[in-house]
Amino acid sequence: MDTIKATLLILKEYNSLSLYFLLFIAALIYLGIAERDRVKRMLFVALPAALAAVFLFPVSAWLSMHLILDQEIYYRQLWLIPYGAVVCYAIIHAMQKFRKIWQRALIITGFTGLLLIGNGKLYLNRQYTRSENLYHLPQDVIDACDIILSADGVVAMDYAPKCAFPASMVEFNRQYTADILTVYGREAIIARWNYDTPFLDLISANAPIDAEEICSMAADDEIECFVIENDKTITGDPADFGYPKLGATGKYVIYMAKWLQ
Amino acid sequence: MLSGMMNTILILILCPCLISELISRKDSFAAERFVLGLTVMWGLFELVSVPFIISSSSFSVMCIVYEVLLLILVFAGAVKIALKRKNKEYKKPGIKEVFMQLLPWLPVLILLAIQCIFFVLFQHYDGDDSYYVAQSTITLKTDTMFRRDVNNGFYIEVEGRHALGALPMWIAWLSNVSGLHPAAIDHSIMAPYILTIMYGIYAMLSERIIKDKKWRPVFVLLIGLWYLHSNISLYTAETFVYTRTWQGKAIFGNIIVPLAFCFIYDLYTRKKYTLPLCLLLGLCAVFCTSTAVYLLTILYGCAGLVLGITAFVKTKKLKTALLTLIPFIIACLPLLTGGVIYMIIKR
Repeated sequence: MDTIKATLLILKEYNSLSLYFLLFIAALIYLGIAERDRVKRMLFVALPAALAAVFLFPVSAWLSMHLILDQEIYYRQLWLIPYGAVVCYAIIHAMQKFRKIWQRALIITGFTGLLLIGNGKLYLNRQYTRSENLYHLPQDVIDACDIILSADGVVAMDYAPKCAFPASMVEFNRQYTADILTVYGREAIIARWNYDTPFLDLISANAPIDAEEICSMAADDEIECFVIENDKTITGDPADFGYPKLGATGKYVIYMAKWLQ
Repeated sequence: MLSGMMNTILILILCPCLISELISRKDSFAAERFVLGLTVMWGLFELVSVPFIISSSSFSVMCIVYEVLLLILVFAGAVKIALKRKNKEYKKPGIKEVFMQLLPWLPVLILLAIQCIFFVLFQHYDGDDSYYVAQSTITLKTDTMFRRDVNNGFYIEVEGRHALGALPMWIAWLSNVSGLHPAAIDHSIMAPYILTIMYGIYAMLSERIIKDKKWRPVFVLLIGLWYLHSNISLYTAETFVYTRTWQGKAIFGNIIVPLAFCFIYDLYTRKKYTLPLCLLLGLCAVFCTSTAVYLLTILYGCAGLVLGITAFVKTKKLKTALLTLIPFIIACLPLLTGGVIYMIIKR
């Protein structure tokens, strides 16, 4: 029963509130009735239906979720069904069957209308931003990493410093360079993984950061460099505790152990 | 940076074009030839890299082996073209001919060009890049494959979960030969490149399923519209191709699966030389993501079952029905081998 519930939940989340599955099922039924070519019926009706059945069948679903894939990524089995190809082929088939201009206009207008009304529009996705560079990484992150890598001690010893970054940097810094080792990575900012990172908690807190506390914590964790967002306040000077300021970008301030500078 | 981009683009275009001469059927069109050339590049990389990854060998040595084999294929392709020209089998198409062939595809090409430009000028951050892109960056720096924790850079044992999906290593190789940073390759080059390949594969599919040539560009255009309107949740393959195009799972869902449908159609219609292509596709699928070991097996399995049942219903002979399954079972062999390797590494 749990497997059936999980499968239905995956379908619900996959489809969201769109007409995606509905359009696909309509196309499948239409092709099932109208398509006469045996091979195309197999490819665009029987095969997608068989794949959907394997996805929904509780025994195969249980096996996939618990022994092979994972419940979290079971939705990827839905990728095997060529929704777009089935729907678009059904439209082409219908337009070839109904030859009058008004009939074809009706089909194409109906299809695009349903897409516009019922499906998510990529071009309205607000998560796209103008790229700052060819790396498609935040320029501030690149600048901060470059400052760390150009520190005199790092260059002279060809040394890979061990650093701690704020949450806004951890997804990007290691994409840009492998020359900087880190105390924690992306796992630290995924809440459901419950990763224990006291240093990150300290530099992420809204309260002013005590210079002595952050520097002693850095020394205890063998952190040779730490970066904080420049809207955070530090009470006291980290230089007094062995971590002078190395540099700053528009968004970040970098402190590095004195012996590396 | 500019020369690095030019090098990368040159490799990504020239190698598949020349290699395709060795594998394409005579009647296949440009997009199909190109796609097949690329699948050879990927399949070869998977074959070469996995033993090196499992044995924790050096990345640079693996690159030498791959480059030698790739050069042999590229050279053989170039020789084949030269011989064709010598024997006057190779007819250089005129500008007018090319223009007339491309004209019906113009709306598709415009739609594709807009999206490609958008992909370079705009960015979409994805958290998983901190694994995939970082893996390529680390490989270049440390000369190891999957032997560093992407989160902190410290030494680890090879992770069985990812070891078969050699795509980040291929990006590292591309970065190594072109001089361009892996992040720039992934985000600024692979994104439009993969999208173009995807449209090419749907053109391949249209060539198979639509007899009337004039409807083929319409089909691909509709596919373009469908894709643009399928950003309905985080989970659809269409969302993946527009938000994390360069990641193996997006390539699996949007390149490998439609290509598998082309090859399944060829198997259904008993087109010659399809089985080797299915085997090659199996390698490419695992190259993209380890989970393909299971997913593509399901697809090939269901496709075989559908054909078997149809044959049984038609002939009422069990033996005939079972015989139709053989190509599909053979097509699953690289995937099953991958599955066995996966289980061994994971242990």
